[in-house]
Amino acid sequence: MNLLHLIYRSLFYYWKSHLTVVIGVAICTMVITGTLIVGDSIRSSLELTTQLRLGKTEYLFSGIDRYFRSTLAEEVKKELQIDVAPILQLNGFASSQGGQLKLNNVQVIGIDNQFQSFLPDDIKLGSPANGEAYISENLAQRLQLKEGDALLLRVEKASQIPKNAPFVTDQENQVSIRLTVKKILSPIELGRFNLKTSQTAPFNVFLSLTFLNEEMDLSEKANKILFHSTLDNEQNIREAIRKHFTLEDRALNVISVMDSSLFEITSERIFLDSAITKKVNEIVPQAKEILTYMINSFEVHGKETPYSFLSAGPFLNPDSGLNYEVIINSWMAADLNASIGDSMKISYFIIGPLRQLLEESHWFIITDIVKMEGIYNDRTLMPDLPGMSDAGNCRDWEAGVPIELDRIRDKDEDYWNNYRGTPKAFINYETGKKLWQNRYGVSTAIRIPSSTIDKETLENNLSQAISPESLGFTLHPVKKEGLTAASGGVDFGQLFMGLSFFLLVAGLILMALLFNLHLEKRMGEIGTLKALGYSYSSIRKIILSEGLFIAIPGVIIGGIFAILYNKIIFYALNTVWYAIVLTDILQEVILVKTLLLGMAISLLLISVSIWYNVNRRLKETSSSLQRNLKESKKNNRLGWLKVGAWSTAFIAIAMLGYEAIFGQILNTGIFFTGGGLLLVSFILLFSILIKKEGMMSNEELTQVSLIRKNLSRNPARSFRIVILFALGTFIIISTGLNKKDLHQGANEPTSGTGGFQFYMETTMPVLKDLNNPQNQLDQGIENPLEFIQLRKSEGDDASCLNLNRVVSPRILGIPPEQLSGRFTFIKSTEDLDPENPWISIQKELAGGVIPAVLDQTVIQWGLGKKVGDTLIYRDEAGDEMKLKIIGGLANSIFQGNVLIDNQLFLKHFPSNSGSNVFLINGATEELDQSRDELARSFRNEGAEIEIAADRLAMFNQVENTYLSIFLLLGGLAMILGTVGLGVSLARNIQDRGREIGILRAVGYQKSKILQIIAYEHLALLLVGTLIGAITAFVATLPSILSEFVQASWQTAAMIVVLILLNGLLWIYGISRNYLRKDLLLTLREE
Amino acid sequence: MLLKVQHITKTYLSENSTPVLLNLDMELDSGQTMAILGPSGSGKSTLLNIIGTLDKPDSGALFFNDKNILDLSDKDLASFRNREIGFVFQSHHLLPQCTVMENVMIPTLAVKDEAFKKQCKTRAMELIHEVGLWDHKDKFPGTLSGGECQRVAVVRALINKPRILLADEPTGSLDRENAHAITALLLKLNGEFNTSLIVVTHSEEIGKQMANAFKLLDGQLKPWK
Repeated sequence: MNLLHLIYRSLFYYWKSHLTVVIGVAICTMVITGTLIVGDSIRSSLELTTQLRLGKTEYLFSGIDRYFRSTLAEEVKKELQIDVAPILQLNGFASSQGGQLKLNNVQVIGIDNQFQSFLPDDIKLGSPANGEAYISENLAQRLQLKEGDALLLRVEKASQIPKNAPFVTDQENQVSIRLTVKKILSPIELGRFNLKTSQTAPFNVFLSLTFLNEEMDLSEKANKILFHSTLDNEQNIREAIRKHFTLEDRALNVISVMDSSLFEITSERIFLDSAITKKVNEIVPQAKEILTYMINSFEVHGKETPYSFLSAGPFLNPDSGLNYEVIINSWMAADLNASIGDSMKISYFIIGPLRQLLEESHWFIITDIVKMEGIYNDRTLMPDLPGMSDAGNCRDWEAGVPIELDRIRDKDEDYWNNYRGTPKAFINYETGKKLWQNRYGVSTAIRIPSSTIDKETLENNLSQAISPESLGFTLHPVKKEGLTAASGGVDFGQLFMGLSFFLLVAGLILMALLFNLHLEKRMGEIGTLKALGYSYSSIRKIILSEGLFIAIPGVIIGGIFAILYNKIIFYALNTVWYAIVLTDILQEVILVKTLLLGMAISLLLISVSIWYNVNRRLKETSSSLQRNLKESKKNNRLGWLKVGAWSTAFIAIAMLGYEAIFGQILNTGIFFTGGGLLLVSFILLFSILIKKEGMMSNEELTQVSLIRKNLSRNPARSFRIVILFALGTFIIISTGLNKKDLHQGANEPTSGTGGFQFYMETTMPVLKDLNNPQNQLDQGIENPLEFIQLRKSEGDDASCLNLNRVVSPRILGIPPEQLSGRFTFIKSTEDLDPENPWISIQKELAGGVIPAVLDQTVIQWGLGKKVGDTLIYRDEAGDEMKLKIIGGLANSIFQGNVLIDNQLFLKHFPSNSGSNVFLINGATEELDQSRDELARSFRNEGAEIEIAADRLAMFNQVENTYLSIFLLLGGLAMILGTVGLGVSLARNIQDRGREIGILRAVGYQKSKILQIIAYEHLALLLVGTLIGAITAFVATLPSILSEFVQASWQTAAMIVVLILLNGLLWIYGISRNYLRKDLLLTLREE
Repeated sequence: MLLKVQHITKTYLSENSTPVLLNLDMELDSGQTMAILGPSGSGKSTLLNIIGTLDKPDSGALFFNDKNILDLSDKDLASFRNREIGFVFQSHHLLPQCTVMENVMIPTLAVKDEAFKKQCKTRAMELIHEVGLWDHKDKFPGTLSGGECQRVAVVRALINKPRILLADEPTGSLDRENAHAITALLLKLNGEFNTSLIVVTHSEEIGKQMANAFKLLDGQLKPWK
């Protein structure tokens, strides 16, 4: 005989009650381990998604709307001996079956053979031939394409010139490409290739890089380079790029003009920005800027010369700064019959955002009339404007501004034929700069006397001075960032642990309840062992060892069920809960270490629970234990319980009261905490009441007092049942009441739609002001609509639809004045004026920090930040751009984006042309019909139009799905609660066999006894449910009072009724079953 | 003197403030037998539990071989109880999952002296034989009668050769015949092993069979008859 033998004997003797404990342990283990496995699986799936979307890409070199030589990649490759691939990635939309099927937001990617090295080694792909395309599986599926089918692509025209730069035509912004599908790429063949951090698969079309260049009228250009380097090579790559990055890659040209007496620096982007001119001036102080601008009319004495160029530069002698003097050439002097000293009215267009044209004019004094020779006869002064420079005659000009053709005379055509865009007038540079500088730059050329520097030195110095980074090019370790985003994203392990929290607590309580019921059977044994001289530690060792022997199979079974639990969760995530993952790349990953960790945590929790309960029992005296009676001693804990109950109640009431009186809006977090504290307080109060009841002896005996006394026979048991039901009801009701009505209040300006009817995103930017009636007509919009046009930067989606931890969400430039009174701010810093919150974002904060606004859910969950924190970006010039979050919006259609003021946006992204995001109002007909009409109007822009309320509902659906999961798992936990109630009831009746037998012996009818027992448990059921319901009501008060949340009263009420009915059934069934037993048998058993 | 109880007082907090034991003194020498009688609630079991170190008095001292054992730690008290005290309760409190032999051996598991433990097996067999349960040694308590179970409990109490055997209403749940047999067994074993015996009982018959008999009244022991 030894201790092991004793444990072995006990294990088999008490197998029935051990089995119930094993079940409790298995449930706990299943929940803990299962949720850890879910976490692993989702994390691994996101990592897999990262691998699939990037292939072997480790680093990415890219700029913002800039293109460089594709051969740059090869030069870097030669230097570093690593795999590289230049790509030209553009936006487009696709159609098939003669335009019957359309798909927006298509990534059009030009690749060459070097892309092969970014695929797995065993996959040979090669570059598509001209006119052929490789497409992704999802695109093939959406457009019902198979290999050999025809596909029509419309691709955003790639150009170095910003689309909305002055005098640039908006006529050729798209290129149509007809293709044949050569291959449908699986995910492993990089069909899901995506440089954005997202788990959702993009729609991809891969073309030959050369072919795409040809279609774009480009020559060997790329806008991204992929690097595959296993070494930590970032610095080497950066240096190699710098070394090989030419002036052409910088879109700069240096040419000799004026018989090689001058070098001229120009940009393919037409305008040179002030940063570049400043650098050039540092290199060669003698450099002079020139700004050549198109003038609508020169007027003298009522006569006009239309549509001519004027150059501002070092033409006046002396160069006397800002003045309004003009030199005209002899041709125009003759045309206008102008003389020196005449006043000349010069009229021109100022081109505002979205091509808003404002014709302005200014008076100048003619100070000189010059012959058309030397610097006054230099056609190179006119910048190379596509649509104009190459036009055969003036009437063919595509100037990006309205040209009144009837004003163009034959002599103007002759001038064009003879002198092209040779300026007819000259003013001082400072004056020209003041009048015509714009966000794209301050000059169209810089001229340097060739006597001051040789060309090679100039080019070298320019390359040194203007780094790729200063032009907005960046090198990113995309693989590392992607994996970090994947691992730092939504932690489904924690999430499901949270969602399953109540299930876990219920499992633990059930397990503790079952173990205690088992332990109660062993009280006599413990008492005897004590009397026989077993020390506390020996007894603890025996019971704990026994507990562990029971727990281990439970933990193993739980571990096996955890795998099943994970499978069920995954099945649900792939079907009914798809809204929260939005990816088909979900793989189950069962790591042995996670399985063991989950089981170890479960075992630890269970051991602590057993240890606590055994210790509690050991404090009883031997004789009490042997008689299974609780010692009647002063309850020292009662005082602490009172302190706990009243202090939590006080804190809860203080918090709720303060928030109700002083809070601007009812804070959901505070109310939920307050409700939770009240729940704790009420449970503790119940505990106090029931303990006190056990100590009272002078009360007159009634049926009610008898029930109360019976409940206090085993306060811990009654307490656990109440906790189970109170927590369960709290969770279920608060979840049910927090569920959002997906469309309620969506038309209100303060709602998450801002009161807008539609949210539209276009693949191609819309360059025009859509609130201009003529532009609406041009666009094919018959009934006038109100448009709010937003600009967008490249960035990741930080909405709840992206599971990755996004660092740089997409920025939207908004017109704050047009959003006044719309949407609702729920959190803010002092920088936000509560009266005019949107206007607050117009002004830069100290240190050039830009105020920004996001959805509060994105701030908190998507970015893991809080209001007041700062986001760091790089702007177009490569400079650091700090965005301070000054406001958090209630759930809105902007979810996933950072909102900043439009003007501040353009300051940092001056090349950004047009709008891609629109908020639309004013449709009078059926929304679905209006949406179809809008889709027709914007078919050439690849518009994705959503009814704003539907878009908001889509985001809310995610939240509702989480709540549904919570509700479901809470419901499961309630089942455990009911099992607990049933087991407790069964045990109660068993314990009270003698009492029942005697009651029947003294003449109580079965029904009366059934009534007494049923009422006792019904009381526990009702008290638990009532505590849970009242506190849940308090916790969800903000949601109940909110106009945007329709409390699902019916669901909540239905669930509570089901809980009660289920409880009643158990009570009735078990009580009846026991009372069927024979009276004599019952007494004999005792 | 083997056992000396000196000025023991014990009051239960939940009852009215009247002590159940008040300045109680008693002595017991090796091999002596003693009966403690008294009405229900007079404190007999409380006294027995204090002597058996299962409970502690509010004041007073408990000397065993002239050493105040109330000064011992819980762990040492458990060890003391294991080696020096044997308990027999009104109910046998045998472990239902263990056989007769195993139940008898249960107290030896708490003994650390391995040499002593080895002897216990032989002693257990002898004692089981002596109480007439040899044929039942591999049976479980559920298959035995109440008297048989109580005999097993007596053997279990004596397995570690205790110096004092404390019996709390040992015949309280037995019929007359079995009660006689258990009393006889206790006295026989007392004579055989020189184990002092204190019996708490309502039975005057048992009281008469003990060398010393006291009645516990008003917290004090008073000579009975």
